[in-house]
Parts: sequence; C-alpha cells; structure tokens
Amino acid sequence: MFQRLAVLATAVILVLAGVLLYLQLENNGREELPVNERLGGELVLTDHRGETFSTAELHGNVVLMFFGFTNCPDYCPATMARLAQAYQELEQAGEADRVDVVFVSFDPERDTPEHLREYLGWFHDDFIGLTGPVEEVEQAARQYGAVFMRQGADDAEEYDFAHSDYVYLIDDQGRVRKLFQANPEPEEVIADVRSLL
Amino acid sequence: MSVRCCNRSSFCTALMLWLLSGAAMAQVEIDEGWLRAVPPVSSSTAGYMTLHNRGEQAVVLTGFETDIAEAGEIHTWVDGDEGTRRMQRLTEVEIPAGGKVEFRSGGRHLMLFRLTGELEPGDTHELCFGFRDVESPVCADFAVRRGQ
Ligand SMILES: [Cu+2]
Repeated sequence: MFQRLAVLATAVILVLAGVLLYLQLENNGREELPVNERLGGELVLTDHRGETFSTAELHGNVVLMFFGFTNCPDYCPATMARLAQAYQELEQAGEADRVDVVFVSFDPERDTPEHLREYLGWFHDDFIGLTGPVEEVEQAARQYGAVFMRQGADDAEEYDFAHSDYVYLIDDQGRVRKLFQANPEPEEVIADVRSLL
Repeated sequence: MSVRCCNRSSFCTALMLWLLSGAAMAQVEIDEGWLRAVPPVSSSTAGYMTLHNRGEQAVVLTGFETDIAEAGEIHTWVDGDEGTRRMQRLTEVEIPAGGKVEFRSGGRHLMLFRLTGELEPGDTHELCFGFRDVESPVCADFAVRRGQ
C-alpha cells in the first residue's frame, strides 16, 4: 500500500515537473530579438493619401516594413499577401491595433499616392503606403540597407528593378529587430510580432 | 516503305508533323496551374505551374499566350549586384524526358503583361504553351487565386 502511494506520488511529481519545464520553455524558448543598431531610423515621405507622413508617428506600435514597387508581379504581391494574412490573424486576436504594415515604394514614377492607395487597399485597408521623390526614397532605402536598381528593358516588356527583398520588423521604439527574407511564413511573422507586443 | 513514302510526299510530311505534335501534346502535362490575383490597378501578374514531360524525349517550352494578357514571357530570378535579385527573361525551358519543371514564386514563373481584364479569384483563364518543333500548342486552364 505504502509502496503504491510512493509510486503514485512520484508519478504525479514527475508529470508536474514536466508541465512546469514545458511552460518554462514555452515562455523563454524564444530568445529576445536583438536590436539592429546599424539600420533604421525615421522616414518622412508622402503617404498613400498624398500627405506628409513620418514613421515617428508609428512609435508605440510594432511595424512591418517592406520596400517594393506595385508593378512587381511575383515577389511583392506574394510578400504583401503573406503580410496581409499575418495582419488578419493578429486582427482576429485583437492585436492589430498595435501593429502597422508599411509599404515603401521606390517607384514614385508609377506609384502615385492614389495608385498606392488602390494597390494596398486590396490587401488591407489599414496598410500604409509611402513614397516620394527618387532621392528621398533612395535615402530611405540606404537607411534600411535596402537596395534597388532600375533595370533597362533587359529584353522584357517594361522597366523593372533589381532589388533586395527584406521585410523589416520594427519595434515600438522604431528600432529594427529582425529582417525577414522575402516571402516570410505568416506564422513566423506573427510569433515575432507578438514577442515585441 | 512508309519512310520512302514520306520522303516524297508533302502530305506525308504534314502527317508526320501532325503525329509528332499529337505525341508532344500527349506527353506534356500541366499541373497545378494558377494565376496570382493582384489588385485591379496592377497591369501585370505572374502564373505558376508544374510542367511534366511524360515522354521519352526532351521537350523545349518556348513561350505562351493567353487572352487575359497582351504579352506573356517566361521569367526566372537571378542574383544581381549588392544582394539584389532581378527577373530575367528565358526564351526556352527544356523539360527532360520523364522529368518536370516547376514554376514557383521566387523562381521560374510566367509573366503576364498588360492584363486585358480583372483577375477575379475563382475565375479560370486558358494559357496556351508553345513547344519547339511542335505545331499545336498545349493549353490548360489556370485558376485565379489570392496566393502567397
Ligand atoms: Cu517576372
């Protein structure tokens, strides 16, 4: 009888220890994202409503930022669709109020504010579009280590850009915390955003 | 006997071509073809698929056409300077005998320039592919999807 009780007690203790260890791992398993000191900073550009917009207005929120152009038919819409999916899931969880998605276009010639509004609105009404004169967009890209180079015809139909394709995760103080490779998995984006909320 | 016949007769040549193209049509299979739904303001989009060659001879894809776009090109992504990537046009894609070639976001893809109408998710559009030395194109329906 006593032996059985001892076995039972041991089993209960082991299970409890396992649960505690699991919870501990759940909480601390995700290492805190490091601050990228090299990249980032405030951007002042024209938004999709045609108004001057400073990214400092976004402080307090976690920001997902992507440099691209709307005439980009493969990568950019794929990435925006993934960000839209992540954003919608955060929305359903009631967390989207503290998250912003910003698309910075380096193709102001074609991406007028109106064009940006229509393009981004199709993905999500909340998404913010930014652009400006080429020099200003170039400066913005430099700050974030984003690279774009206008391509000639290259035997293709229209002009195009060679470009880097990171998505920047920016914390509520405007600091870059992570660069996602193009086409990040929405689950990864959601988990990293949540770690900063 | 039939060889001698075909050396002489243009009818036989035509018949041979017809048979050959029939064979190519049967040996090429298009799987999971889809077109990316894009905002109505976008004038171009991309398409994806897997192209199977069930035959015993390699086939060479040379291009495609569709009513939904004024121009179609085959593209791939190549590394550019300073960590950039850029799209490059391919004028041919060989599918080895018994092999397959995948067209995926971030890799080889179909470009549809100057769309002639809106791409509504759920719609399907026919794309017709041309192959070297094959007279008739191989066509397949591509579904429009809000994809990633
Ligand atoms: Cu392309």
